[in-house]
Amino acid sequence: MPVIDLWAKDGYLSTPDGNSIYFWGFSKSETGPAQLPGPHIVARQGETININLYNTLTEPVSISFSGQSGIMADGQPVQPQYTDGKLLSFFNHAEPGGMVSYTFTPSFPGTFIYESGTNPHKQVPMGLYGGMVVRPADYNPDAREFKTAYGAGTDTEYDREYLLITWEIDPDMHQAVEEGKPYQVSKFLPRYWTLNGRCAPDTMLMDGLDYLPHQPYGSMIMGQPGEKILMRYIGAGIENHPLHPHGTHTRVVAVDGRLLRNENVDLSFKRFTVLVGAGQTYDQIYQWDDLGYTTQNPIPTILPNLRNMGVGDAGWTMWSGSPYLGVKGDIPVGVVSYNEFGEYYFMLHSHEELQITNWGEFPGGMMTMVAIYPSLSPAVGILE
Amino acid sequence: MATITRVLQVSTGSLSLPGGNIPFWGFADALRVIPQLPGPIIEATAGDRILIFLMRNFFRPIGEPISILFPGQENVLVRKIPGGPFILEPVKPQYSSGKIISFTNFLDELQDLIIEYSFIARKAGIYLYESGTNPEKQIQMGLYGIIIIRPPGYNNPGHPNFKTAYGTDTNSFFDVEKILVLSEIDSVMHNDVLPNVYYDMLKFKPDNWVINGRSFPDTVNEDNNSSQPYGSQINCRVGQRVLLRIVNAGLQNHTLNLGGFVGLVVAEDSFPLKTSTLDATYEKTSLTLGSGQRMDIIITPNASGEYYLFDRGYHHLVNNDHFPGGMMTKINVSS
Amino acid sequence: MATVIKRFGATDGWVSMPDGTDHYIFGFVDISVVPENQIFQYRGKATLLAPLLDVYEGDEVYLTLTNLGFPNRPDLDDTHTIHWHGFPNQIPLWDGVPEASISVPVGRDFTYYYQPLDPGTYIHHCHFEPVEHIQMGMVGPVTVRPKLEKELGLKFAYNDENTAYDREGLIFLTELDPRPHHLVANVQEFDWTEYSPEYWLINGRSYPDTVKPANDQSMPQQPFSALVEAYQGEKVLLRFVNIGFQQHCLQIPGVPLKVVGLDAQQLRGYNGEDISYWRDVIYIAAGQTMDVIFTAPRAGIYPLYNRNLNKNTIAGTEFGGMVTEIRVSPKP
Ligand SMILES: [Cu+2]
Ligand SMILES: [Cu+2]
Repeated sequence: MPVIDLWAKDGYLSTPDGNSIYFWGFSKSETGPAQLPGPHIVARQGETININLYNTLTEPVSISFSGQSGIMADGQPVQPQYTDGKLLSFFNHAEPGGMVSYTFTPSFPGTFIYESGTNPHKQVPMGLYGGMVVRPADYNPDAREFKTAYGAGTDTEYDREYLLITWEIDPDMHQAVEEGKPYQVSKFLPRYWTLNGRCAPDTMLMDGLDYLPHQPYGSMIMGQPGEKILMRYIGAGIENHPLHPHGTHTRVVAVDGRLLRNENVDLSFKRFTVLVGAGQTYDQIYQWDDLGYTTQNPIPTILPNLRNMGVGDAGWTMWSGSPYLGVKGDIPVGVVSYNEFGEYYFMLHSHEELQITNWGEFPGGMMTMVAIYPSLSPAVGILE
Repeated sequence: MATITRVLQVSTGSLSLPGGNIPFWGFADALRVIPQLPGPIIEATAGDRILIFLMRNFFRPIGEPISILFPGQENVLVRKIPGGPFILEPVKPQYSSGKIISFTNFLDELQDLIIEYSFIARKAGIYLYESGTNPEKQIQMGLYGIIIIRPPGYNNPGHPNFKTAYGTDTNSFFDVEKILVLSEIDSVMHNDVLPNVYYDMLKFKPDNWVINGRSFPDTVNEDNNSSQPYGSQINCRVGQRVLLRIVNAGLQNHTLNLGGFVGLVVAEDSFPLKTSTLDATYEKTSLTLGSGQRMDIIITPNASGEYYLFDRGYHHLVNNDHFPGGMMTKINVSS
Repeated sequence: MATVIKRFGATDGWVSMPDGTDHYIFGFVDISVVPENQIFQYRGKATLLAPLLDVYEGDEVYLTLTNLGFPNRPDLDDTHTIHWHGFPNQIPLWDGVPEASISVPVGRDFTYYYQPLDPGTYIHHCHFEPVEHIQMGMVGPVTVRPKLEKELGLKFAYNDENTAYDREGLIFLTELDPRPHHLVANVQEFDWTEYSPEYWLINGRSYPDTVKPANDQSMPQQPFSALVEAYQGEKVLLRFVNIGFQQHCLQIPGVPLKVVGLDAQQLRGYNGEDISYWRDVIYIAAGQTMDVIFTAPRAGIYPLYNRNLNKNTIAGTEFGGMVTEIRVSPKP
């Protein structure tokens, strides 16, 4: 039986504008840093897992596993917890310094949120949440028809997969918790919006950077033309966020970890903007197909002299300088191009545009890029 | 087909909330006199004629024109004494200086005695009735209620539509039914509102989050005779099909988490998702409802115990900034 | 298939609200047929909404963006772009994201090329510092009509006879927070996390202006009417667009609404299943579009308004805002 340890602890997350914000998060081990979001849990349909929650915080902490049934805590069915007749936790919790052991057997594949079920108005906005992916029972990443989100025959095959978790931060609330002041959730006013715990442009950086010890997950989506890119969205905040990927639509194949299909009837649908609702999940397939322009089959317009155009006004660009995939053109002198191989970049962002700022400054916040490479290692876009 | 007749009044009253009592405006059964939140539940069968008399209130009027709008119902007719129209005619928005002042015909309590609205309850489902006059103010002040329309044969054991929300073959058979009307209350606005004076809705900032007009823990108390008569605790047994009829009467969007259950969405805005040509029912663990939307969900608990249904917008689970409170209720599953 | 050649100028201007206030905007103006030596007369004449781009599936569209500059803010040399929001399989060159391709400086032109293959309702907007340029007004509608219309000589939302309609209306939703408009006009910064709109608009207007006719003389820079007129029994297609920064819930009490398309995709399952559905309330998020068909009911006036009723206001002073009317006449 897979055993996962989660340690609830505190730490400081950093924002690209230089802010350092106190938060609560889950860590993989007693000595590891609290992280945001919590460690990904990857489980398998039908396989019982055991999750041990160790609480180093000063108030009780519990975990709710949305979409799962038959959850046991220390061998008994989970149940709400009370003190003096007053509800304290939706599920069994670990007291400060204590632990609780949950076991359950996921009966459905899909994408799920796990999050605190104790003082959730405070603990979830403080950072106690993470993503859980349940593989279908027949999952086999080495055989194409079995590398699926929901099982063979469900039209959910994919080539690469990415998890994107939305959340928002009101730094004043975090500071109130840090300083032991009253937590007035009625005054909640977010100043930062995150994907996988980071604000843009940090979202576009790689996983596991030394200088972001508490925010290990990047959000750059990478793939090749024609590939099926599985995007798993999770809404961990208390607000809904409309995520809009440029480049093409996504096909929404499942919501809240349930396939949109009844018997033979397919209910999946395509959208260019998906409203990621609080506490909800959306599995989608993004498939960008090349329009076929190459240097041999040129675009029907003339590329102007780039010295007359705006390129990298902020001193940097992600453009190759060429209209063609896999081709690098000339970028005006003085502009840094982060383009490596002539890959295409498509922005993916919240369309409540104030959320793509860091405390009001664009660019920032809930934004990342989808990068389409002419060719890309199969080792990219694997979720573990 | 029957005619369902209700006589309603609109009255000022008082709501009991965790922060104290605040004034509100509510619909009242004319005989019962006490205004309530939500308004009295009106129940009919598809095909029935629903006839609603809204009577002038001589004792505790709110002091401004009042009306009832029936979203989801078609071809509503109206007549009014003594202001007219005297013969039934289609409802229509009311204008002053070329601009809408009411979405439907209204009762002016300085001049009129009674206004009558009627329509055929065309299709099964759960609907709101609500103020159509100064609705941003009057609906927030409490002027909304629920209409349930049953499919024919609903009460008739042996009929294929027996105990279904939408009739046979819509996957809406149920053992237990609970209506959950979501809303939010701005207590400052309730204290400051004046009749016939425009309220600055830019100041709207709700501080109470309610199901059936109550915030937790009052939600789990039983039905009673107060101005907040409807509890929302759900009691059921393992294996029963529990129909949750979720209605967002608030001005804001809300996301209800089903407390760890996975619900089958069988209807949205009272349009069943399973029809003769398509089964579009689907499963969810949390449901986001826009203002005015309704969803019918079936959950089938497979283990006994206590569970909480709550607003996943966690900032709405507080009373005076303290958890637990707000938009939350309980499901008790016995074996 | 036709070749469509269009030219939009990016510039600034002013819009008015029913309370008599004027607000500074950025926007686009259609200069497709303006001789080159006269285009500068269109500086300061941006419209809210930006011009409609109305094309057929398969058309070859050459859309030139000319940056005419801001006569009211000559110090500001912002570049602009056109982002066709939702264009499938786009390449970065024509996607209008300055960080991922190019943008157009003052006095320059750039031609975008599109060959839309999927009919439906889209949006175009500037993507340069989008929080500012979208809120300032650089947003407009895009309609792609299906080939089936040409084949059958009738109107359809998609290539499916089940999406036939007689009349169409645009319900294009935005909000306006006067503070950033005022601050931008006065060369000051706004903290966008403080965004708090006071006007809610359909087609760039607040009720009761929404029901005034198109190109009304009193609002030269707000040419789009939101009044929908039909005869009883006709099929009416409403193209809902939300390019504000909030979620909205629109309803027309007494009129059931059939949703036939989302985000310029007909509601069809993976195997072609008809998964269109009915609603009483259209709940639409920022950056989404929805195609909705209803049958015009018995003659009368049907208000269309936001069920987030707090938004039906004119800056908190009186009823108005995100409201319009459906006027149905008896069959002729
Ligand atoms: Cu611009
Ligand atoms: Cu966009």
